[in-house]
Parts: sequence; structure tokens; C-alpha cells
Amino acid sequence: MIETRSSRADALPPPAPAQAGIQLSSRWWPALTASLGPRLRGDERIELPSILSASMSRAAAWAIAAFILSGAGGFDTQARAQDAPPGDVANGRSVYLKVNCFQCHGRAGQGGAMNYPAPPLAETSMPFEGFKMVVRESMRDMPAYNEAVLADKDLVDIYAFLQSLPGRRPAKDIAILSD
Amino acid sequence: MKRRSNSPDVARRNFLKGASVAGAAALAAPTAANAIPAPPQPKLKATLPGPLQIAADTQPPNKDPATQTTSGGDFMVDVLKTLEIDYLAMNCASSFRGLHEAIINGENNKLEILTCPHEEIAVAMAHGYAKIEGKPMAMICHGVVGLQHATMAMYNAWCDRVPIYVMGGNIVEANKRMAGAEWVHSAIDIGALTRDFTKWDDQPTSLQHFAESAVRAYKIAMTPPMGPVLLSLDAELQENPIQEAETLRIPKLAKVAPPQGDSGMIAEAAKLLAGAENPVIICDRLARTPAGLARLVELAETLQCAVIDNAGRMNFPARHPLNMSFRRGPVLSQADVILALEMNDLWGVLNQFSDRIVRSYRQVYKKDAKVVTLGSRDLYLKANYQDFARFQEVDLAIAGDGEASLPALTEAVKRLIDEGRKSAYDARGKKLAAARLAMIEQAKSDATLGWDATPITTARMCAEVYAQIKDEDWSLVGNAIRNVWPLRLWDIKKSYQWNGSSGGAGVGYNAPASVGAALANKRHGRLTVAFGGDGDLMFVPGTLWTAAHHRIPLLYVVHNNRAYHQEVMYLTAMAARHGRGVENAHIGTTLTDPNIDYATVARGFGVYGEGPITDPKELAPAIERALAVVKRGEPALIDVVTDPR
Repeated sequence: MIETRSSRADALPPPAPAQAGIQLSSRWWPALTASLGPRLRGDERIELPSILSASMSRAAAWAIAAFILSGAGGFDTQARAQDAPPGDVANGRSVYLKVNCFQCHGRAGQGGAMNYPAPPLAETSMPFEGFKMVVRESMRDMPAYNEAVLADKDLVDIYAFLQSLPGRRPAKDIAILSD
Repeated sequence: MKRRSNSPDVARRNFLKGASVAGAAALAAPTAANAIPAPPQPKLKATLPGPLQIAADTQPPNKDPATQTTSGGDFMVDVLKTLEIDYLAMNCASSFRGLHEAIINGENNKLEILTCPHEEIAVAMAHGYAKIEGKPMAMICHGVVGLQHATMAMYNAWCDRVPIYVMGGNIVEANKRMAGAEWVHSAIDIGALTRDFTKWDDQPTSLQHFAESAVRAYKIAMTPPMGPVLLSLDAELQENPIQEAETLRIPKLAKVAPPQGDSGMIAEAAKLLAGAENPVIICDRLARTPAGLARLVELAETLQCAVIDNAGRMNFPARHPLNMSFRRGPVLSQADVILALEMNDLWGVLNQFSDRIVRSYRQVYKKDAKVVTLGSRDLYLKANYQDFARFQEVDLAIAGDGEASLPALTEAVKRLIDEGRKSAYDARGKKLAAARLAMIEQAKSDATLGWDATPITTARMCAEVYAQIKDEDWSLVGNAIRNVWPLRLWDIKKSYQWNGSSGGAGVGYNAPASVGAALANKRHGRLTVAFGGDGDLMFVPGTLWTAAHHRIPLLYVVHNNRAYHQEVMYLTAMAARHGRGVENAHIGTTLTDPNIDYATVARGFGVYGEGPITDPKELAPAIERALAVVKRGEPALIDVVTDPR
């Protein structure tokens, strides 16, 4: 379970100044590992891309951290962001398909891959601010969608669509996943 | 080069030439109108020769005999029989008609011909076969146009370090070529086309030369680092009668011992590994034989260390508690010693690439970590094609076959383990095992996302197949690009349950390689399944006919996303970079309008076909029906319309 709500993230220490990237050193880890669960231990470090800047809010920084780590490790966020702007789910679905988000993240938001894993987005708990940052700036091999190809309004709608998608089910409820 | 005019049959006629001319002179009847009348002929006791006999005896000596009793092709078959080659994949061609005839009619020939409607199919079948069976299949083609068709598949095999025994027919002597096709199908040096991605090639000029080169080629192909080899076979050499058969000798094929790493360097590597706090093993094309799998497990369990498997071979059990292949970021970030076994692109694993306008890499391991490589890659490289990947700075570079060198390394590590270290290792292993269990549960949870969606998710497609084969002696021999679900969900643990990938990422590999692997599995009675992309199958659809024709049992599941999907994503990225037209990325990258009905395509080739399946609820019954076909010894195809990845 990952909690990336802004209230939680804002309580974290400020990110280090970005140059070649931010080193999330051990002082960051108690909070982050509490969020990310057993996949990481307190003595692990990860270098985040330079798009994590000092001017970015903690919410966005943590959202991107979760995004990156979910891509590297293949796990998803669970909690819903509570601060999302209202959006048009139907239009969000249409735009999500039109601009090819689904090609990597799946029509059901189940995730996928390009050259690197593309994390699941169904029921995303990534705060909208972080979500927008990732879409606009991108990372690794993800396309960066600027306003010319994806308006702010459509971005809001896509976010609403993703949050409307059915999330995970207990794997034990699906017999063939029991083995 | 021996020529027809020097063949024993012709020589015998030459020997008779003088006598024939003399007889003709004696028997020739005068024809001139004003000829002097001949004296009366004495009555002959024997019957006069008929007109055919007269013609035969009075015409110039026959330089074009119609029959022969031996051929170079017969000898070539004798040579190939000694090489433990069971199959010859081919698309028939006149430049090897001599050898072809000798194979189908020769005595005690064990080579079985596999008829392939494209040379790329033939080579890729050999590719998939070799990785399951551990030895090469032979392939033969026209040395010019057929070899040009074969090249992509040969490049894949080269990149994947797989032995394939390729032969190409050629007509070396210009004055022996028929006008037209034989000129455009001949070359001075057919091997020039593929020399950048074959280990060795030759164009024998005599049968003894062929025998020696044939055995040499096999030995070179099978010596790590393995790779494809090529023999150019002159048509005259194949077709002409054998001369001086008593002088021909087939060299003995020696057992090949793979090179092992230097013992001093192995000891040094063992010391680093044994003393490390967080050693990590990374491997790619390590396991050449089932022993490779067992040996890696033994080393990993001795150290209780993380293993990252790049899955170029069946190196390490997918569910092993130490398998951290899907947790490589955190594992590498902590590693203090990294052992890379038979890695091709170590840089690509130790650095993360950012495909932005300014392309960049970021190191993902600690700067003071020690890196040790053990592999045969450096023993044979070529310069032109860049499949050797970016240079990775390391601390110890041990040249030697990984599988062959592992026992010595493991024993050296064991000698350094005391009780204190063993306790630390056990604690390390327990942490990793707990993480592995969490990864498996995470994979199952991820698989539930979109479980009932249409198009069908790749997770559901893979889970449905596994549910019906997991209690059989199954073998997964092919996989679609970036389909991670078998490795995340399936209990892949036996040496033949995973067969790597193409090596060169050349499309058109997966379907024929899967059929070749299925052929290898057939004799072992294994249930063979494969996933493959629709784009891949469209390169080589004729593969299905070969599978049907040769009764090769295989369940082939088409991961049909109706696109060359990687390119859809790349084009989207390019359009987004320009801030325009991302919605146009389907142009030139998708396989729609009309949608392709692969089940119908399969049926057209004589293969059982199911689909297109779009409702996930229809998947399990379709798999059940298709598996029934496979279990009675035939191929079957299921067309599953899926989400892109």
C-alpha cells in the first residue's frame, strides 16, 4: 500500500537540490519505505531524474518516486488521490485511447511496457500534480505530451478516467491465479 | 575442381574412342554418286549392326553421358551422417540438386528433410531446435538468392550464439553455368554476404576438402562461443561421379571441450563473491545444457545471493527464492560485487537509458561496486555489426565458457565459507526469499487488472494457457515481445521450459523457431506451447504449413495486438516530441483494415485454427480444444485479440 497524498508528502523533508538528479539517501527512506512496502529496505538508495526539481512540491516528487519505483519493480499504487480536480470520465477515456496512452498502460490501465515497464494506472493514487508532471515531462522512453497534443482539460479527464477504472481484485478470487 | 569431362564414365568412353573411329571407317558405306563400285563383300556371319548401333559407333565420342553410378553428393551424405545431424531444413533449389538427390535416395541416410517455404523459416527453425536439443540442425539453400533470404535468421543466430550448419549451393565454374538463372544465382564468394555474422565459412574444391571442412565447420559451430557456419557447395562437386574413391577419408569428429576460465582469476572472483555483503549474479546466455541451470542454482544457493536473469537461456528457475529478475533496480543499487555470466549487453543492465532528445544513460549500481565478467563473448567478436553492445568497464574479465567454469568457481567459493559467513549468507537468503514471495503475490495481483477486459490482457492470456498445461510435461519455446507474464506467473524450472529469444531482434524469428523447438521436443514427448506476435507471424506465415506437413505438435498462441506495436509507441514518442499528431501513430504501424484472421490463415495451411478470440471467457475452451489437437501430434493455432502489451 502506497500513500502518496499531499498531506503525507508535504510532511517529508524537502527534496535535495536537483543537478544531475536527486539522491534519496537513507534519511528519506523511513517515510518512503513505509509508503512503498516490503519491496524496499531502509538501506537502499535510488537516484531520481533531474525532472525532480527543488521547486517541485513534495506531492509531485513523491508521486514521481512512486511512479519510477513502480515501473522498476512492477507494483502499483493503491490509494486514491483525494485532491484530484473533477473530470469527464467519458472524454478521458476517449482521449486516453486517442493519444495512445493505452498502448503502454493498457486499455484497462493494467500497465504494460515499452522498453521499460509502464506501470498500471487503474485507480491510480498518484496525486494529480505528480501525474501531470510525468505526462508533461515524461521519463526514460515515455513520450512527453505537451499542451499542443494534450490540453490541460483532457489531462484532467484522463486522470478522472483512470481513477474510474476497476482496480485490483484479490488474486485468490481467481482460481487459475492460485498456482 | 573435377569436371564432367574427367569423370570416370567419360574417361572410359575416351578410352574407347580410337577403336570406335577405326570401326566406323571400316563400316562406312560410300555415298557418292560417281563412286567406284566396291568389290563384292564376303557374307558376314554376324547380324549387321542396326542404324542406332552404327550411329553410336560412328559419332564422335559421347561427352554427355546420361547416367552415372556415383556422385559427390553421395559422399557428402556419408560425411554429414558422421556429424550427428538429424534434420536438414531447406527450400529446394537447383544449385544443390545433386546433394538433395543423394539425401533422398542415398543408402542408410538418417538426415530428414524439412520442407520450408522460405529460407528464413529454415534457419529460424534450426535456431529454435538447437537451443532445445543442444546440437545444430543443417540448412541448405541457393547460395545466392536463398542465402539472401536466410541472412536475417542467420544474424539472429549469430547474435544469440546458436550453432547452425548452413550450406549454400553455388556453380563456381563460369563455363558450366546455364544461361540465365544459373548466372544470377552464382557468386565468386557466397560467404562474403554472411561473413560478418558467421563464425567460419569455406568453399571446398574437392570431396576430400569438403570432408575436412564439413567436420571443421561442425567443430567450430559447437565450440563456445557457438555460432552459425557456412559451407559453399559447388554444384559440380555435388553432382559429378566420384573419382578415386579409395583415397577419400572422413575425419573423425572430436569431442569438444569448452574453454574454462583461468584458475587464478576464478579464485580471485570467488574471494570477491565470498566476502561481499550483497553479491549479485547477472546472466543471459549461460546455460548451454541442463547442467548450466543446475550449476547456477548451486552457486547462487551457496552464496544465497540475488540472481538477475536476462533470460537468454533457461538459466535459473523463475520462482526460485533468489530470483530477483523483476526487482533488479533495488538489487543492483545495493550490490557491492556483481558477477556477470555470459552477458552480451552488460552495460544495458547496469545503466538505465533515457530516450529523450538528448539521449543519456544513468548508472544504476554503486560506483565502488566490483564487477566481474565470466563468459566466452570476448573470445570471438567481429567489428561491423554492433551486437557486442557498449563497452562496460569491469574489474575482472574472465574469458571462458560460463557453464563450464561454474563448478570451479562454486568450489572455490565453498572453500572460503566459514560458519560466520554461512550465517550471514543464510540471513541474506531469507530476506531475498521474502522479497521473492512478495513479488509473486504482486504479479498475481497485477494480473487481476483488466481480467475481464476486451481486448484480452496479456496476463489473462498467459494465465489461461498455463492453467491447462501446468500439470503436463510442458515446454514454452516462444514468447511475444515484452510479454513478461510467463516469467512472472509460471513455475518455469526445467531446462526446456524456456528457450530465450531471437538474439538479433529480427522479426520473423518466433514462429519458425518455435516450430523448430517443438520438433526437438517431439522426440521427448513434451507438450510444446509458444506465444508469438502477429507481426512476427506475418513475416513467415508459411511456417504453419511446415508444421502441418511434418506433423510437428505445437500450440501457437498469437498475441494479436494488430500492430507492430513497438513502432506504434516509438512513433507516438516522435510525434509528441514535435507536439503534433500523436493520433496518427497508427499509420504504417498497424495491421488493421482489414483485420487479419489468423485462424483462417492457419486452416489454409492445414493447421487447426481457433479465433479470433476477443472475449476472455472463450479463451479457456478454445485452449482446451487446441491442446487436444496438439496432444494427438499436430499443430494448432489460437488467435487471441489482445491489448497491446
